[in-house]
Amino acid sequence: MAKRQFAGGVILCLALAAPLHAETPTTVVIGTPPQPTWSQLDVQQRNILAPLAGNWDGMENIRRKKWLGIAERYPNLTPTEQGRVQVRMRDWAALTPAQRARVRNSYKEFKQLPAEQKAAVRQKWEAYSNLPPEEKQRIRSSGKSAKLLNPPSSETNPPSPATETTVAPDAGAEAGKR
Amino acid sequence: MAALLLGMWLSFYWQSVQYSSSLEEVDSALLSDDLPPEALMDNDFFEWLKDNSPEE
Repeated sequence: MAKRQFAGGVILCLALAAPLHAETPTTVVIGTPPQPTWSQLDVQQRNILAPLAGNWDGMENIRRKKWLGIAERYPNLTPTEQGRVQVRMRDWAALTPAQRARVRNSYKEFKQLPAEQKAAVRQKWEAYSNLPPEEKQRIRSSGKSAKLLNPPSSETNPPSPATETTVAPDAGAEAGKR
Repeated sequence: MAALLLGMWLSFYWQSVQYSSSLEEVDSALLSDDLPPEALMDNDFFEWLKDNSPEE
């Protein structure tokens, strides 16, 4: 009898381990206790998570739990990093679980790149994001992204201050301040 | 039976803690990084950006 119950439990566990939706395994959803509503958060949590105030009470418990964990880590970030989190929080929460999962996978891949390649990606993004939309399309379809690090003007002329700004090593830090 | 259910719930609870903690870590880093999430939204674009091969 006990063996049958145990086998039943194992089968149930395996069935529940299948994802409920794109991202969260059902076992995780079941195992997450109820999380506080917006009015139950303390003042510091509400200040940090202010961009999420409008949809907090509609969030699943696992997502509230994750954001509370992010709020706990928040004081350890630099002021610049805190500013980036505040600016990006709402857009991030508005993505679908599949989109968030895709970005997380790319980010993990990015973090594993050698330091020089990471710096190059940041510089290229900075240069790319400053281009007008039609130029973005043109540069993507016309060749390699290395072009972003060597704008045509710098090949024939001495670098102008504007060009230097585009490819400056700390340009990535500037991107975050926007 | 009650012990089995309790054991299952504890196991699920532990999975929830682990899962949430891993998301907190990556989301906190991602949202505070100087490379914004927009740069990583499109996989083809990220691969193109990552490619360091010189212009042909």
